[in-house]
Parts: sequence; structure tokens; C-alpha cells
Amino acid sequence: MDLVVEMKSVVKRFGELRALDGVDLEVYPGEIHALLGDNGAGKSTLIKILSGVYPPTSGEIRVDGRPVAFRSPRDAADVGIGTVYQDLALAPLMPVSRNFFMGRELMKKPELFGVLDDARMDEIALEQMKLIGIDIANPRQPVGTLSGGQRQTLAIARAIYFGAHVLILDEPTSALGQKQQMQVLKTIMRVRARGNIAIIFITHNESHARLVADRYTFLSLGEVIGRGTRDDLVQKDIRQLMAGGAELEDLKSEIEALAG
Amino acid sequence: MRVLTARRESIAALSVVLLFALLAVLIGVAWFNNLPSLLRDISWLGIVAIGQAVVIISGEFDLSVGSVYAFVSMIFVMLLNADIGPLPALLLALLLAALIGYVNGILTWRLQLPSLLVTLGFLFVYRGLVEYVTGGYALVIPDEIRGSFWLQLLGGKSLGLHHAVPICAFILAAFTFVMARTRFGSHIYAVGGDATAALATGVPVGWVKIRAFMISAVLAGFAGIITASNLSSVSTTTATAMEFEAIAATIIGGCALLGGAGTVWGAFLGVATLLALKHGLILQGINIFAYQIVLGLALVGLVAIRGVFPKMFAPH
Ligand SMILES: Nc1ncnc2c1ncn2[C@@H]1O[C@H](COP(=O)(O)OP(=O)(O)O)[C@@H](O)[C@H]1O
Ligand SMILES: [Mg+2]
Repeated sequence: MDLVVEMKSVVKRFGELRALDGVDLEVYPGEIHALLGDNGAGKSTLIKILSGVYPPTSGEIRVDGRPVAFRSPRDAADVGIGTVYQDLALAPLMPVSRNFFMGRELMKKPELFGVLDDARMDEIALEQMKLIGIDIANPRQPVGTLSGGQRQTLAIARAIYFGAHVLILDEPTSALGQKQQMQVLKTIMRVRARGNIAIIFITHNESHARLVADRYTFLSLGEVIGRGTRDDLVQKDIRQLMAGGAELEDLKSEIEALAG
Repeated sequence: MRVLTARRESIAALSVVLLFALLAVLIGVAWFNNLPSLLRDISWLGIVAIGQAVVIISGEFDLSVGSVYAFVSMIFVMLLNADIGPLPALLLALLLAALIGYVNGILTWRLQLPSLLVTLGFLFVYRGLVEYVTGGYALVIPDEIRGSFWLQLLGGKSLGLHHAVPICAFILAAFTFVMARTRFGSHIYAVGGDATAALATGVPVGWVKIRAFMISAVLAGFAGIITASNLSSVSTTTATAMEFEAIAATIIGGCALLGGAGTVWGAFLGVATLLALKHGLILQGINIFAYQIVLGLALVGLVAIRGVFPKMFAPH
């Protein structure tokens, strides 16, 4: 099976700090790939590189087999990488459909006049959200009135509609309550069921990864310390990996202290 | 209560109706005789407040509108005195206003300065220029062109109605449409509501804000021009403190202080509230300082209520 995303020996330095120290990431089409690791492991840094926010210090990235060098998030979006960050890029006072089409509004012909086609935007936004499981009644209701899970779904539906075939979700469940978390996991499974969209799902919640992921990569302090398939994930005790990461951190800081 | 919180503009709408009814009953005939000049004043400040509302909804402030109003109308009168003809004078003055707005916007966006400070600076700059040129006196439009077509169109009166009123009505309708139904309007709400989100989704945030400042300056300058056409003069004190009235009206009319919500017609209702109150107090022979005190208290009270009961005013 051809890889949709292949990152090889990716290094990212912030001054002295090596946030990523030679990381590989392989994502297969239509699969959910969990990116696991403690806070500060480098998960966000890795996906920001993949979404064109900043360039890697070194390393190779291929999307659909072709090498890429993104200079901006636009470049990444153009090859079908859609990222949903924690802040979701939604304006809470604005209607759902206006948020769905923010920056990419549909206009009535002739487009020269810039008159919005609200009816079509309403229709598409509702339909796209329904496809991944959120049935809201009123596309004109302000986003601020949606639940956390519904907002995630809106942001995900938007990314997919605008051409993402690699969907990156940065800790989509971390700011939510139990019930909302389950709603988002269901949304993720519905996206997977569509079959043509790969999902990189960042989390530090191992049980969430267990529930939905086909494959996983485990980061600690900028290095990959574990990877495998769903079966490995279920068998291996992730808690042990977590503990291993913590130990490594202790060891590193001990060495640094000695060298210091 | 529900009536008051159903829309952001509800309080201003209700105030206008109550004030007009109350003052008509209290004052009687004198109130009705004064209506033409009240409507004219509402139209002048209303045009300014429409621009201010666009800027405030985009998440910025324009404190320079009063000075721009005076400065642009002064240039207009000077051009008339230079005898270049009313239409060229009008167009040149409006072009100048657009440039002034562009400068406000580009400094705010490019240098990432708070617009409150940038426009406060220009409040002093343009007021200073007006004071320098007029030297404490009034600049007048030459008698022989006062009756010309363009000056009559902008400043004249038909059937007892100042032309400012239909002009303001047209501008209000146009901007209500632009804000509610066009991509530019949607972008104004987006950049004011969440600039990071707007940037992330590809909205040209800087250019949207610059255009908002240009609209504000052009409308302020245009209001100044029609005022000058009506009064045939501009003076050192023209439109002093108008920026505060425009901002107060905009907030009373339901625009969110930090942007992202509100309407231009709400701001217009805010203007109608303020000026009905002002004219009512004057007609009642009450000291005009009372107006400032009431205006100040109403504004603080309203913002405080919105702050204390945010849920009540949250989007439904
Ligand atoms: N823009 C940045 N500048 C400097 N250091 C950064 C920057 N972004 C992240 N880091 C550092 O890189 C490390 C990895 O961070 P991050 O990728 O956010 O981890 P995670 O998402 O796994 O919690 C952390 O030590 C963090 O402080
Ligand atoms: Mg992170």
C-alpha cells in the first residue's frame, strides 16, 4: 500500500532546543494514525511542519509519494493537508454557515459584486456536518451556541469539504468533557468510514488511541520511542511506554546536569 | 425583558420610540417644529456613525472622525474658494478622506499599533491643521456658488426635508446590505470576531481593516461636506468631540465593543437616541451639560449591564 504521508528523519531546532530529533512518520491512506506522547514530546511541532506552519531544520517529507517543501499553510492545503487546531479557527459570534465558508465564501453570479449565496452555503454546511454525524437545525445559529463537540465537527467537516485527504487533528478531545469526547471520537470514526481520508489524531489519551487508531507513533522528547499497528497497541502496555518516556527524560536531565 | 435582549439593537430601538413619544408629549408643538433640524442632525452624525460601526465591528476604533469631518470639509470649502467648481472640489475632498483612512489603516495593520492610539494621534493632527488654517474664525463658501446644483443637492432642502435625510437613508440602506449580504461584510465580522481564525482561513485581514478605516474616513469627510454645504461655513470648533458621540451611539446601538457583532442600523438608532435626547433637553431649556452627563451615564450603565449579565446579551 502506498503511503499518503511519509516524513523521514525530520529534525526541528528552536535555537538550542531540539524539539524533533530525527522523527519518521508513515501514514497510510484511509487510516487513523494516532500520534501519542506526553506534553512537550514534539507532537504539535511535527504536525506544524506537516501543515506548512514552519519548515523543518532538516528531513524529508513526501505527500502521495511526491517530495514537498511547504512555504506556508496554503501550500500544505493545496496538496490536501487539512489541519484542525485546538482553537479551531472559528468566530463564535458568527453563524455556522458563515464560519464553514469563512475566507472561501460562495457568491451569487456575477461574483464581481461580492453578494453572498447564503442559501447554498447554509445547505452545504448542514449537509457536510450531517455526513459526519452532527444534525443541527439552524445553519444561522452562532457558533458560540454549539457544544464543544459540535464545534470540532464543524471544523472537521470544513477541512474535508475544502479538499483535505489528510486530516490532522491536534488534541481534539483534550479540552472537552467525557460526553463531548465520545462525540468527537464518533465523528473521527465516521470520517474514517468514508474511506478516502487519512487522519492523524494527536492525543495523550491512550484509551482514545486504542478506541479508534489503526496505527500509532509514540513520541518522547523529540524522538520516536514506539510505533506499530492497532494490534500492537492493544497488546503493548502503553503506560509502560509513557513511563519509559519519563525515565528517558530523567536520564537526559541527569546527564545535562552532569555536563552542565 | 425578552424584548430588550432579543436583538443587540433592541435597547436603542426602544429608546428611540419612547424618547420621540415622550418628548412630543412633553414639548408639544415646539418638538414638531424642530423635527426637520433634528432629522438633519441625526443624518449628519448618522453617516459618521455608520462608518464608525464598520470600524468597531472590524475590531478597531476610529477616534479621528470628528477631526476628519472638520478637516475634509475645510479643504472642500478652500477648494470652492479656489474656484475649481463644486464637483471637482467634492471629488478631491473625498479622495483626500480615502487617503486619510488608508493611512489610519496601514499604520494600524502594518505596524500592529493599537488603532485607538493611531487615530487619537490623527485626531490632534487634523484638528490642529483646522485650527491653524481657520485661526479661530470661520471659513465661508462664496455667496455666488451657494446656489449651485451640487451644493443644493448636498446641503439644500426640499418639501421641508433637508437633503441630508434621504442621503443618510441611502447610505444606511447600502451599508446594511453590504454588511449583511456581501463577502466584504462577512469578512468585517470575521476579522472583528476572531482575527486569528480569519487569518487561518485565508481572509485578507489587513486589507479588510484598511478598507474599514477608509469607509469611516470617507463617510466622516462626506458628512462634513454636506454639513458645510448646508451651513456654508466651517469653523475651528466644527465637529469637536463628535468621535465620542459616534462611538457612544455605536455602542448604545448594540455593536460589540471589541468587534465581531452589531449592525450599522443599530448605530444609527443609537444616534437617533442621543440626538433626540440632546434636542429635547435644549428645547426644554435645560443646560446642555445635562446632555453630556446623561450620555455618559447611559453609556457606562449600558456597558456595565452587558458586562454583568453577558448571558442575557449572548447570541441566542
Ligand atoms: N515556536 C517554538 N519556539 C521554541 N520552542 C518551541 C516552539 N514550539 C515548541 N517548542 C518546544 O518544543 C518542544 C515540543 O513542543 P510541542 O511540539 O508543542 O510538544 P507537544 O505538542 O507534544 O506537547 C517543547 O519543549 C516546546 O517548548
Ligand atoms: Mg501540543
